[in-house]
Amino acid sequence: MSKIITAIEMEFKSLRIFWLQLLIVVFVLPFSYAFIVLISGNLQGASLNYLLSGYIVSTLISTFINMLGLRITNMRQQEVLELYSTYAISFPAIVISECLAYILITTPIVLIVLGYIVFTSQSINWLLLICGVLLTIVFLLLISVYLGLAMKNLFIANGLFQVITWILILLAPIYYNLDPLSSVFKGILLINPVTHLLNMVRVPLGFLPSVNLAFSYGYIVLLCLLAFFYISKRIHSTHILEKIF
Amino acid sequence: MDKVLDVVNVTKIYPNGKKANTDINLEVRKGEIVGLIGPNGAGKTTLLRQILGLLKPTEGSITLLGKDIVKDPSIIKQEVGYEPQYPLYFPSLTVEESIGFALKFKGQKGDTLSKKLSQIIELLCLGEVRKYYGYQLSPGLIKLQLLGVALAQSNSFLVLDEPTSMIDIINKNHIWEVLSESKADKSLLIASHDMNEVKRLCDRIYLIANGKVIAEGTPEQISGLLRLPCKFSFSTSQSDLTETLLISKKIEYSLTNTIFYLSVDELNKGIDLIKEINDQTSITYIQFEAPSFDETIMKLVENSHE
Repeated sequence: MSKIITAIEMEFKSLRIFWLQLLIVVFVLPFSYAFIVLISGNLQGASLNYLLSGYIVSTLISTFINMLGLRITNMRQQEVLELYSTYAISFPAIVISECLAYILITTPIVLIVLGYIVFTSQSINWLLLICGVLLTIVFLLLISVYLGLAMKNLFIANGLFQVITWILILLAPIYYNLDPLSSVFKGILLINPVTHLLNMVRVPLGFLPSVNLAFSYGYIVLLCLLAFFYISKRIHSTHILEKIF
Repeated sequence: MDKVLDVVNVTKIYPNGKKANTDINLEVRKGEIVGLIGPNGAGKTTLLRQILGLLKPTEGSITLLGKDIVKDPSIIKQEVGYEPQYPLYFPSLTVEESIGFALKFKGQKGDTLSKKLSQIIELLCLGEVRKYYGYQLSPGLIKLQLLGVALAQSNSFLVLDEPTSMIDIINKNHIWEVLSESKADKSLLIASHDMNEVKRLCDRIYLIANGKVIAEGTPEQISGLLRLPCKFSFSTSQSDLTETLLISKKIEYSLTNTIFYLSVDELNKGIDLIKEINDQTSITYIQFEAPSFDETIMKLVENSHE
């Protein structure tokens, strides 16, 4: 455990020169979408909470995929792997500490916004809310690590992860409502796991489910298991420089 | 002497079929500095990476302190300090942070950590740049920082890939002293292209070419493997007298400014000639290596290609 704490400290110190990138990914990008919606309509009460719950999920997507995912791809680069090999910490332990570091980075935003929602909501199912938020975090961490491990080329990952983030945010009812949409578009949105994450966070806050909640849980748990299976297969390979150098 | 590292019949074939090394046998004993030399692409870095567990040997075994590194890879992180060939760094970690984290990962904390950190920084003369970030360092300083990390990380074994490349001659000499002294409690495996470094530091040397060990032994033993001409250069106080002597003895030479360059086929003949020249006119400068280590290495590598 002490190695993981040290690696988290190392990650925070390593992020010092990337503070602007971090600010953009964690705050500016997700907030800019929410800001447009906020100034375009007179949102109050439930509508505002709907928007803010979406903002939490989009913050996690943006941070985990764009920062954590990219960081994992970066660590799989030959020279970075070799640099880490000079330290007494294993690759899986570094990945775990990276995940914890990015959870810590997003925690203030998640807690503040969630606190506001909880404070202004009429009815809350606490158990479902905690489960929903935790599963959302776990799923997005797993998917980010999966993408980070699957992507070998850092330069491609740099652009591709932003596109993936954009698609996941755009094709999910984060900042708009699912109900008035056509059935075809709804079908497309239901493939996107983010739609189900939003369902898991919003239903406990008293919003009507956009799809059966049990189905959302089943879908997300299944994707988590698949991502976990892939990650555990790839992450334990210690012989990761298997190419000519 | 106890074996610290034992590499037995190690072969590496990459997934695309390229053979990187073949049947490598190598050992490093306690308190010994072993050199790994050979031309670029000979398979030195591949072998080091196999020893570090970054590459899996296709055949053969690598044992570190009696433990097979494939079956028990944790032994590598416990015992080995590694300095990579390239100047790799964390851009936003300072020198003291980079070395300090290596100590923290080894479980050191508090005063012990501070003391050890200061020792390493002082030892490598990094005091003036201890607060510098990685991106502010020159390649030579980055290599020194990497050596610091390796010293902090290592318990009993240091693997150094070209440890003094990019480092100036003053620091180079200092590093050689540091490495020589570290023999007291560590064993070292050094891959290098610097023949002076290898001759000065290493107790034994393995010469690798085309992925195979083509020669091994002490620098003196390797120098004596081939009968090569002895080359020497010298200056005398009276060049014309020396020229007359060389012509009368029908010895081929070249003269650049006041320095004579010549070669003889046997060491004793060379010594006799130098004595004779010195009797006639005093020798003011002489450089003499016989048999030449560098030339022997070059010849051995050439022969291996043939």
